[in-house]
Amino acid sequence: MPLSEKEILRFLMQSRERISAAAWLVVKDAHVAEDIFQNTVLKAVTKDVSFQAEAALFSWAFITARRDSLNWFRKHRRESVGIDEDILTLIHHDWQNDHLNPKGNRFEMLRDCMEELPQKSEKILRLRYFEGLSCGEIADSISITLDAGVQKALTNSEFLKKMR
Amino acid sequence: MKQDQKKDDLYEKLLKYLDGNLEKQERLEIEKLLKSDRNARDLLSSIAEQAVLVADAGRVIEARNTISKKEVLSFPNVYFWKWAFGGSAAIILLMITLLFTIGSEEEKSPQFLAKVIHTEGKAKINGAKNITSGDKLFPGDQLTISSGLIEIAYNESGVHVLGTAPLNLKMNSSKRVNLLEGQIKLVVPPQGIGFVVKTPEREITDLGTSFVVKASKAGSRVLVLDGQVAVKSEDDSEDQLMIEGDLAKFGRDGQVDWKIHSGHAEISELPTPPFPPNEASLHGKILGFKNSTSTTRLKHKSDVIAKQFLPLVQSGFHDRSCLEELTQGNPLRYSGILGSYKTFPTRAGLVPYAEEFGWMVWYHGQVIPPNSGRYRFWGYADNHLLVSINGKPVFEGSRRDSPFKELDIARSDHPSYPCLNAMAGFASGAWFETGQNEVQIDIVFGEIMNHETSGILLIEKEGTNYKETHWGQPKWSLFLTEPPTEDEFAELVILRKQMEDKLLGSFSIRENAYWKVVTPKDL
Repeated sequence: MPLSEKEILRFLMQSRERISAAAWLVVKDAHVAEDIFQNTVLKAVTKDVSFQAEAALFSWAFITARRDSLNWFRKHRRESVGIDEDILTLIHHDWQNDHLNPKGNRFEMLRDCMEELPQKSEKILRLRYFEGLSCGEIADSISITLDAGVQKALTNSEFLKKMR
Repeated sequence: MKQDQKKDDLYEKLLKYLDGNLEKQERLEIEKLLKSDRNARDLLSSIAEQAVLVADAGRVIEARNTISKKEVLSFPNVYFWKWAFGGSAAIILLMITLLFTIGSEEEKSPQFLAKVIHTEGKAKINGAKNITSGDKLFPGDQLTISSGLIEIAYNESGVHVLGTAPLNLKMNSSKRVNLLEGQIKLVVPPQGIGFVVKTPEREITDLGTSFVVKASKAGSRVLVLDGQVAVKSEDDSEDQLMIEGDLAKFGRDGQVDWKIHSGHAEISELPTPPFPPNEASLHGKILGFKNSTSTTRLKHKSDVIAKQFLPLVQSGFHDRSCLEELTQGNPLRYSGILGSYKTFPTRAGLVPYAEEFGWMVWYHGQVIPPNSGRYRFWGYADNHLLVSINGKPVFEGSRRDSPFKELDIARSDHPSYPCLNAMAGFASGAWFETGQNEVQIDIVFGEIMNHETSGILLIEKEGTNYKETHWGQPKWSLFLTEPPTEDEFAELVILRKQMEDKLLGSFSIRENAYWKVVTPKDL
């Protein structure tokens, strides 16, 4: 018996972090990744497709998001700094095997922590992942002299380490 | 401990990999590792997940101004949905739409985006509730009209929208609407500048105007009735400005048809030709690559002129060896940087030169500030603009793809202060302090490859009250080192009026703001 619309929605929302992350790996823009995820959800509930099992739905959603991301990337970027497609395929397989093991309520933890971070750290995080700037562009905007400074800040962030 | 360090090193390398900042060999190595090592892939995955989660958290924090906590908590089955949706405001908004298909009702917070002034025919919110005059519209609301029309007014900005059936649009935020189908006419008052209409094909940003956008299955269409709008290019790299009478069609198949008005508004070039320098002038020279076969090696590189200047800037303007292979025009007198520079290389005697590799002007000398205190530069140039004081760069107002970005010069962009064709508005540098003594100044300004050059360079003194434009932008002083001649003054005033009329920025000309040249230097 195919999954109902409600089951599809519920499962996609559970897998949202991973499907959006798959899109982000290609487009490197969290807002675009979010749009791609939303489109994937809409396609799943409005297109004439049915899924017999959650694994099939996850695979379909991952491939759809990845294809939409690549289309977006090809349409919007001049120079390719994209990730090797073989690596994306391997990540797909990795996730396919463990997608049902959520890593806890990391979003809640993250949101609470973000509000308590020192101003500069919070700004670096926001610029990097909310505004989608590269380390170099962040260095420009907050007067850190080297983009290595931004990379170090992100690497040494205890806050992000907890999420790895 | 060692293991942690190794992980940190890999994490840092992956960040560089994602930014495209690894050398070829390093990139190949990291890709090899990612293909063979699951742990490395997990670390890469965790960066992607962090990006998504941080963006979510940022959105939620940002959304708190518009969506009250009460509203989120009053959402049906909130704990289930918080778990299922990861708590993201964006997802909650998406679900407001989706869940109507399974019959949910939400309560609205009192913070609304816009109000329905008038409606005729059949109009619904989120496919369910009939719309009537006086209804409030909230972030995420989707309006559909099968017949008739709807007139709405935005709460904060006063943006007025008239939509006609068939219409399908989504209220994204106080500054953004997503037009999925139908036609809307917008009248945007000055406080609404920057309002964005998104269609499936393009984003249209209002720059103070009235315009019509239509979206259909075939594509979208923009017609400017009055004022100016900016339309994002397909690759987001630049914006096409449109003025009154301009029409553009964007097909779903990628076809674009521009019908641009013949008298396209753009910033003028000051008519007075560049003068030769005198004793009171800041001296400059214009440089470009020689028009000879020796430039063949440059063909495959981009923005070669700015890269050529980097060693000069990095050396505090001492190492001139990088300029040796360039040709130069006539000696120049600095008379401000303002307006268009389409014919500047020719008028400044830089002929012949290799036009495809661009040109650069370098002004240099010792100047004395009008007063001691703290100053900062404002401006923008398409393509390059940089100012150094005593050999240290204090302002970089170039386009975002300029090689000058490598210099990591502190810069803030101000989208709410329109500036020429800069979508990010005026750029400002960091404050710097000067005493009464003379300082070395170096100004570098130029073009990457064609003739569509424009620029503006202003200076602000801390604590000074500047007059404001009607849209609330301070008129900082045009950076000058000597008073303009009468003719120049008249031209500047005309140009300022043109800029203000077209909402392209503004400036002031203050007698007590000149940075007088004390030691003119030939270059």
